[in-house]
Amino acid sequence: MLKQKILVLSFLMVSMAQGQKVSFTEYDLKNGLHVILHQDKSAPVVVTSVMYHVGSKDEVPTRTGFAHFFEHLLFEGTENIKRGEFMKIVSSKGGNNNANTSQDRTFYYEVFPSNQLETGLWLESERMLHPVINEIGVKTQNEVVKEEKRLRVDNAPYGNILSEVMKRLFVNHGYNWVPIGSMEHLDAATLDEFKAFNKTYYTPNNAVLVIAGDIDIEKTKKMVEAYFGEVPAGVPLEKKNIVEAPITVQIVDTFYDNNIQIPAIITGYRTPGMTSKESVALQLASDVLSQGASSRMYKKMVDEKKNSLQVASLNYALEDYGVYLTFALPSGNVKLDTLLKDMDEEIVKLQTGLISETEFTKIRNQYENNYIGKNARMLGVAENLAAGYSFHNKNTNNINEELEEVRKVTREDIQEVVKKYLNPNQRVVIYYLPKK
Amino acid sequence: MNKILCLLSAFVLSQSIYAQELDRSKPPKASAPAPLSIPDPATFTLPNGITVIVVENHKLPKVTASLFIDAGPVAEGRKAGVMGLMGQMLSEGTTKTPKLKFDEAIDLIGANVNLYSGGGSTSALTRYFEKAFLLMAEGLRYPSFPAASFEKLKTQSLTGLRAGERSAAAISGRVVGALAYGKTTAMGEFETEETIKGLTLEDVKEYYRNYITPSRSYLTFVGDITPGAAKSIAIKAFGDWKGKKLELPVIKKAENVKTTEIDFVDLPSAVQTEIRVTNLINNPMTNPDYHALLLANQVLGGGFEGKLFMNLREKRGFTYGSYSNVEASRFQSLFTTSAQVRTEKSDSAIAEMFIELENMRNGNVTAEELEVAKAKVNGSFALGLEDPARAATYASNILINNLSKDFYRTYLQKINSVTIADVKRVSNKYFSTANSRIVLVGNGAKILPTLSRLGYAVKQYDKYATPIEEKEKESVVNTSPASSEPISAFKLIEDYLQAIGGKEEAKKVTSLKSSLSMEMMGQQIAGTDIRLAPNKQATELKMGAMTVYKKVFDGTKGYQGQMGQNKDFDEKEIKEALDERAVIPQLSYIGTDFTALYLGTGKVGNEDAYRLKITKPSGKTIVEYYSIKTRLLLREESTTTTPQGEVTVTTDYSNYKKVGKLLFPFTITQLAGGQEVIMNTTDIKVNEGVTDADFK
Repeated sequence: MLKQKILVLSFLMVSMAQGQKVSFTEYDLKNGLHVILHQDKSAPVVVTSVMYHVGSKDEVPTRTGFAHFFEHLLFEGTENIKRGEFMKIVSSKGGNNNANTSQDRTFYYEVFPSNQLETGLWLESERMLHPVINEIGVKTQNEVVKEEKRLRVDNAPYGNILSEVMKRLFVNHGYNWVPIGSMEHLDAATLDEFKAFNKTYYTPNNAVLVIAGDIDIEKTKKMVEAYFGEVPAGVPLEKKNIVEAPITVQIVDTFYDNNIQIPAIITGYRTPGMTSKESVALQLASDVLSQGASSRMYKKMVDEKKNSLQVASLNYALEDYGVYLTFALPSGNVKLDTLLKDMDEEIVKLQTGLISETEFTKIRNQYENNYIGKNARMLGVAENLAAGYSFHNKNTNNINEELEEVRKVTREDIQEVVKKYLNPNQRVVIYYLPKK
Repeated sequence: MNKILCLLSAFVLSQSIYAQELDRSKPPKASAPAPLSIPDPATFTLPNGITVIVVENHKLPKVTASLFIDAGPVAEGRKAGVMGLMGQMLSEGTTKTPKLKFDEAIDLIGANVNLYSGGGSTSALTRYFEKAFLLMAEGLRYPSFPAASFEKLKTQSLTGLRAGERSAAAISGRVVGALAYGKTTAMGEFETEETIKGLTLEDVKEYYRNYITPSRSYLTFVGDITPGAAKSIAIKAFGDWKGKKLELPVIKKAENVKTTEIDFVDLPSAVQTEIRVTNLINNPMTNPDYHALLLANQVLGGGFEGKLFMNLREKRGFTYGSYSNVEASRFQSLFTTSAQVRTEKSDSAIAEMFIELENMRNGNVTAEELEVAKAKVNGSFALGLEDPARAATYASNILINNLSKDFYRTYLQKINSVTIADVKRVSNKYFSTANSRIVLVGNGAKILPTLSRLGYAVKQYDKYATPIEEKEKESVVNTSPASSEPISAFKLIEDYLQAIGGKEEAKKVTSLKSSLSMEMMGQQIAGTDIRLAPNKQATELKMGAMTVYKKVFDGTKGYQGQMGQNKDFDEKEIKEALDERAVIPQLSYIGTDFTALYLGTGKVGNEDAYRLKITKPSGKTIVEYYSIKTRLLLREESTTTTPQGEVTVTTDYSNYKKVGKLLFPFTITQLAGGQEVIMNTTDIKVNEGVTDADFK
């Protein structure tokens, strides 16, 4: 019954006070694939995209890196698309494509001139219906993924920051490791394990199809049914609910990076997941501290005391939890402990007093300015629509409510979350040092 | 009635399209393409010469604007880095608003304002745009250049340079430009610690006066604004702005290498090799080959379907990606193919890159490859229309590059008329295989031994594009396994002087007279060795009362002889004698015309030593071994020319004893031509009893 309701449910948003609105139509296919269509005829462009609700956190701890590996593997070919042809077809139709993987989801997309919409649907449905997963594809992409890790992690200055923080903040949860995963696990994995992972997670009922751009809604619906209707539904997935015990004693550690000359000091705090109102308040707190040259940490450490080359803080919000990070690079020979003390002082100030009205206006204006930019192109719209449905309790309209949510956050809320989550006994501190 | 019929038939029609099974075996047909229309921006000129371009687009409540000052490449020379620093100084406050207030004003409205040596840009919500724009203009026109900010930015630049020391990509970028264009040219120069340290606030002000000016400037507005509104705020912000007149520099063309070579930079920490194969080209946007060359590059390495990507990544898994790039510029530019590959596959990857280059040059391009490339370019053109700023870029490109007005209207038509023969022709003309530089940054110990199979000359450079032979003595060359500390040749020499009693004491030595005794072929031989600063020298060996060997240099001429048969120094010998600048020779190594290169560690007997190669002003080289433990000189290796040819002479120093305040070796063992001589010092006199008369 509920399903019926969702099937016919469709939104047509009316203009909102703050100017920008993203209208969309959404429904489910019988196999459970959630479809979101957004029409914008201002440029002859169409985005076809699928967000699979699978990321590195869904992996088995002894087989990390699978979701990201599939980001590569699912370009290898399908029963109708020969090995190596996938990207060639996209290019030969004048499009471009890519995919990316986070802890929570994998996002595949094509951007085409709008007359190639059907090709985009064909490609994504082929990938969902019958991808070819064989030894040669696994072997090749295994090498490619290793190169990606060398490029982005092993050979990259500061490439290990996130993984070093995550593995200390999360013990039982899949956030313990980062999407790139372990090369040893990938080497050890069998073809059957890859096939099983595909069967479990890359199903229509675990995916959102978003088509955005210069489209005709009714014609597109028919094409979607034709291409995706025949994909068999998968076994429904149970959402795992892994709860981490609170951190009560500060964790201090050291990491040596071969690729750097300037050390860094990093702190990480475990915070609530992205749907929480507290998560939004934490992001605003990070804006007060380090967004723009007049932000508190930047002004004090880079401009006035001149002891930092760079300082940043951010709330890295994920589905089940978030991570609040602070990060500073010393200028000259300043001690890392000096920077840590300076950053900590600013956090304490947020805990002990309200931010000023001017600062409050400032961070809201900054948020609005960035928000407008996020939906400037069809690819951004597609991803934000899919994320709203996937992570915000199936609320696709989150894209239009996000700004309102931010406007509901008060100065007191900001003080509260900083008091609640950003305390020294709840965090990890990493001295990130050059390897000699 | 009619209307309903229409709707109904349309419904039936569209239903019938998918009534039967889809043919999934091949890509679906495209529907009719949407017409492409590039909006025509409004353009006008302000009285002070600034060209204004406005693209009106009200989709989002946001406006962006930028000012581009078209100065061309600026040669900075010994002031390399000054333009960058000057650009940063523009964000340090104005004569009207101190930095803190300036930053606050920008942040308060949630805007972005960026200022740099080539102009500035801003983006803001429509309701705040004018404020943001006026702040950008204020930053450009009235910078206050506070001295404290200057020092802060200098420190940051220096730290930043250090931060990039081990980044393969940063090193490669710097070395490629420096080698291709020349290190002392506007295109190839780069900032170093030395140039940054040398900059003054006055330099910054001078470059500001010369390069931040309305002359040759383009002001672009894109977004939620009308041309009328744009004009009035442009006039308000920049109408009365005056400045120096800019001329586009004429840049001397650099030459490609005569034969392809490998230029290698060692980065022992690297786990991947950064490969760039490059040659210089001339490809302004007005080039008649522009469109064909763009497609040739697309086929070779434009993206995921390029020959390079399909071969190096998809076929062989050497790399995460391999691409090529053709720069289009009014000035000389580069064609480059690149990849970051795992260390063990460096040589194979280079070989494959050259195979693909040859494929292009031989016209091994299929009709399908060319079609895909064309489709990609056509598609990108259409997709680009999603960004309203694209229309502004097109308009300013036409003006800056002197293109015909219909350049972009005829763009796709010209792209679509390119043939395989055209691709082959331009590949031969622009993609070199015989005159390329293969610039590699990676782990030398692992890669260098594998490179010889490629058959190219290998030249080694440091991270700043200096040939390794000409290495500056101060620079850190290598890491010692013994201490894991970076070793500087300069530091080793300083350590030695410290170890023998201090640099100041060593400098006080103006003359030295050593008495020696040794045994040669069963005979007892006594000798004297006399030195007088800076370079006078007399050595005499006697067997009983008979002089068996004598060598004298008096500062301008010299002779040497055995058994009374003397021969005057030739030109080379005089030059080498003039290499001596001090009685303690290490004092002169610190001078500017000597170079010292750290070679790594070695052993003298059982003692571990650092090895240094010293190149003297005459060109003569010696290798010296300094003890890791005591820092004293243990050995010297040199070659000397004898009638029998080149002979290597190894001289070991030991048994250091104090004379006055300095240590001297009392046992000297010399091995030459298989013969070993042990010389014992019996007496040393410092600054005592030596006169010019001793050098007759």
